[in-house]
Amino acid sequence: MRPHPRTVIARFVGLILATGVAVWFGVSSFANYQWSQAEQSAARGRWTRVRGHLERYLTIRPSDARARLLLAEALVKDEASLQHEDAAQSALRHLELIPDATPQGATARVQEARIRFLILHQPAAAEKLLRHAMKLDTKSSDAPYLLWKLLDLTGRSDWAEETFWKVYAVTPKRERAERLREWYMSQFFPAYANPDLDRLMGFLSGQEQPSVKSEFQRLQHFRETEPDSPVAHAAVAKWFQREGDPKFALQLLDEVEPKLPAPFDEPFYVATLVAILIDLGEFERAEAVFERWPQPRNGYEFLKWQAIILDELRQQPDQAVEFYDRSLLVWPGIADWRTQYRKAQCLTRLGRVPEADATRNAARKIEKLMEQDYHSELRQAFGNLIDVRQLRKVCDFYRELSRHQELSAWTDVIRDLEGQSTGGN
Amino acid sequence: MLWRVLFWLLPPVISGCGSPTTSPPLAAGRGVVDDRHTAHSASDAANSLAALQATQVSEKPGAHGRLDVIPQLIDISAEAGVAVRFFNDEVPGRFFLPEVMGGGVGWIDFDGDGLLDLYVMNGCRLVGSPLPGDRHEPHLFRNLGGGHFADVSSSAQAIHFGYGQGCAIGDFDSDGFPDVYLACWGSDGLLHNNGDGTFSDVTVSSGIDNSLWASSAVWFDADGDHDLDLYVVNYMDVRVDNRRVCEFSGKPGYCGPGEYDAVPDRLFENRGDGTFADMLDEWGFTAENGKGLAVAILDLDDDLLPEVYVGNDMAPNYLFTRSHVTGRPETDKLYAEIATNSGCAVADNGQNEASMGIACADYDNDGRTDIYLSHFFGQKNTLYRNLGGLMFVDDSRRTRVAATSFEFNGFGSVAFDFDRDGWMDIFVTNGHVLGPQQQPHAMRAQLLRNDRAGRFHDISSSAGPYFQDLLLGRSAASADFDNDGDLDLAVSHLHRPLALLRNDTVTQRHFLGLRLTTPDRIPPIGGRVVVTASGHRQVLHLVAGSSYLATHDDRLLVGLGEHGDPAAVTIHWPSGRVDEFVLEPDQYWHVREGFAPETRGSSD
Repeated sequence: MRPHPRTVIARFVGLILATGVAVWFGVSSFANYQWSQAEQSAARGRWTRVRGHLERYLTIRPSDARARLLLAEALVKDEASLQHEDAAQSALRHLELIPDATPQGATARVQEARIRFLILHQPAAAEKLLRHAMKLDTKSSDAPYLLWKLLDLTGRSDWAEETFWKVYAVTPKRERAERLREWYMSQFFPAYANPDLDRLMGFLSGQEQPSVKSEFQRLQHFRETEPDSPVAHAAVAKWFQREGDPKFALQLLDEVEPKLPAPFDEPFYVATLVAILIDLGEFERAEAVFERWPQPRNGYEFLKWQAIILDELRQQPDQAVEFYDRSLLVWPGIADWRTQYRKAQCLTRLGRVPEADATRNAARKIEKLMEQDYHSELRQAFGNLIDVRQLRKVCDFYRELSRHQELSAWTDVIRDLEGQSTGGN
Repeated sequence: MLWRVLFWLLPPVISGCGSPTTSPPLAAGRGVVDDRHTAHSASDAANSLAALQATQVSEKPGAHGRLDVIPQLIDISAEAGVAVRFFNDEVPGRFFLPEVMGGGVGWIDFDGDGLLDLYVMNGCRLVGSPLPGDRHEPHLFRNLGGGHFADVSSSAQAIHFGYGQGCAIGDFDSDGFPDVYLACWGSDGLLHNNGDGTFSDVTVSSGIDNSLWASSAVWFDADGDHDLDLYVVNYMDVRVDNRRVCEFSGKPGYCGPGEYDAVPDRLFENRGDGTFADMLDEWGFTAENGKGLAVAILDLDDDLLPEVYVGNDMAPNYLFTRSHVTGRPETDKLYAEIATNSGCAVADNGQNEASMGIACADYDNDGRTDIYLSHFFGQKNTLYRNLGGLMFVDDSRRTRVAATSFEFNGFGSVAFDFDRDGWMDIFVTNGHVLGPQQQPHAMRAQLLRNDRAGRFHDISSSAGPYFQDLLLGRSAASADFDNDGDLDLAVSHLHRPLALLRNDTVTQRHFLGLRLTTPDRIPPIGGRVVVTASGHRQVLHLVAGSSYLATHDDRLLVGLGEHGDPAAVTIHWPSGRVDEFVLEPDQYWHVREGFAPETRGSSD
């Protein structure tokens, strides 16, 4: 007896479904197996295997953001198979496939930034990604941390305060002393604040210590890897200016400026160019460049250069004093004894001699706080972050400097240490 | 491949950030006070940046506009017979700082024949006794006229054995014959001009006793008692037994002022009987931490009382005044130190500068004399514009003094109007001090043209072959040694003979020469001269000292520009007397206070 056609169809559909379920089950099991194997291999540091498992896994589940994140990590860490730049590019391709809207979006942007900054040495590209990541995840600690370091390493430590306090806000208590110590180095010795990163990126070898030369090599390398970055060029120019060669600094910027996309949208570029032009007595051009300072027109560098232009170029000491005052309220104004000294000179010219004396005395006090011997002692104190007696010197320093936020943070650290000590008893 | 492992571990791995206690030297920390070593760092890195900087140009040709007068300063030292080398006793690897500071030069008409003679300091063995055959003595060159000099050191007995530094010329006993003070590393010396072509060493009998390391020195009437007192600038406490060697880029070199203690200056009062007494503290010349290299004496506030301006190396400069101006500290002493309140102690941003050379002149012709200072490599040179009332503003950037100076290590500096256009130009001799292993080392000298709009331009490339040579320039002293109405220069160097730069600049412009003498036979320092010709007014304050280790011709030479009209001359004597004359240009006039001017020579 021939089966009824409906039965045939039903059986066929059933078979198809069963096969489908079986296939789905098999594929799913295979994918799960690949994922679990990848995770196990990752835990053992077998990155070649991780890559293999995940590449198979992603053929089945190409939209799995977790897998792409892990594969990117594996690609970077797998020493056996790929040259690191190729690995980095492959990893980037995977990370770029992770949409912002996924839970891994912010992490993916941070990882992209890491690759671009630390492996490919593209800080400008990394900076954009980090700022974007910080918008995606306002509570992330990784993005602001890396951005802070990036600012240090691209010669912009003066622009890092806001970023640092974002980092600090999400830093666990047990790590806060270390983070504050890093911040001290970033504040006062930015060129030498990140030797491990310099080693990681190949700008220092072995036990080599950071130097003016290694700083230059880093900045110059960034300039080569990102020839379109106004920041990269400005950082090198600023290095030359700081080392007493503003002519060459200007030559560098003049040569590159026509080729740069929108250099005047970058305040660091504008600030650097203004400083160089003023050093060289090119006052008209300095004013013209300063007029192009992008919005928002605030912050220490803007206020300081506005004051110097009023003081030195326009010879309007009364208005200059107002802007000096405003600049001194913004970090690093309070530590900038040179700007305070300029303010004192303006006050003297205005005949406000007692105020000038007071400002000059304040500047001298800060200058004393910046002396090498003083900082050598402080850095000894930083050598042992559980020695309360030593850390009190750090508090004294910030108190003298009227930096209440750091003072408060270090006081908390000391209080915690003392609490632990009391608790232990 | 450690980087790969570390990479994904960030931030924890980097959180330690290295131990701050093991981090590198503190130089280059933002805002952190540094010594010269920050500037050294530029040369550190510069060693590896030569290729990058190879395209650098110092000043584009034509950047200063068309030159209407081509400067020609020709080194005639060999044919003139003055090409002597300063013996600096440089021992390779010793890095004893006096070796690199150079020796001074001073112009002196020691025989009163109207031709300026030349005194050139010399070194000697710095350590141990002289070796057999050693004969390192200062030189006195008699000007024979016609561009020739004869070394008369021995016959004139114008010799003091010591490691010579600065040379101060002044007639301390007002006998009409200028005497010589020799500032030395070691004991200084005083040579009395006997008036018969010979000198006597009167160091001991004069009571002058300075065994600190003296750099520059200057004669002037400090207390207004109508005789010359002596200000001696002392540098640092550098001895054989505290000598230090510093490292730059891993290579040894000479340590800077941060490594040594300051020593006080000296102010010797002339008692009028051939003896002197140190009145430094009594007269208020006490100031802390001076590491002086240069000194200039002039009236900076038109009260006919001279101020004393001392350039200190990486320490605030001094301005001592007798004037009772705003900001002068309460003191019953004759002088008070007011540089900080006056705005001429440090740069506009409060930074100490090296202050190796001083050149004072009214660069902007506003009637007030300004102060130019040469500084260390990587620092800007400074022009303190005089605002009046002993107030100054650092105007280095607007005037382009800064722009012309960053890549130079400046020493002797001279204000002179090389083209007679009535605007003061500047000569600077340059050369580094770190040692031959550091780059840059030798440097070219500079001629900076005043463009009459308050800005300076480096026109050295047009100034003759001397300005193309890389040198270790040190002292520079100006004088019209051939009495042709333009200033010539004597420039000392290390490792190379003295240069005598005869000013052969061809110009149809006119000049006026003035030799001013007071009844006391002392230079009228504190006085000023106002010269107006063809509507152009110039104010010239009489200056003693300045430059580095040097003494200039004490006559005034004024450029009058294109028009040969007679010049209206007003002389404000330190006594308060004012004399007014109308003088024909293109000649020297000898003006004695209270008497009619006499011609003294004619123009070329």
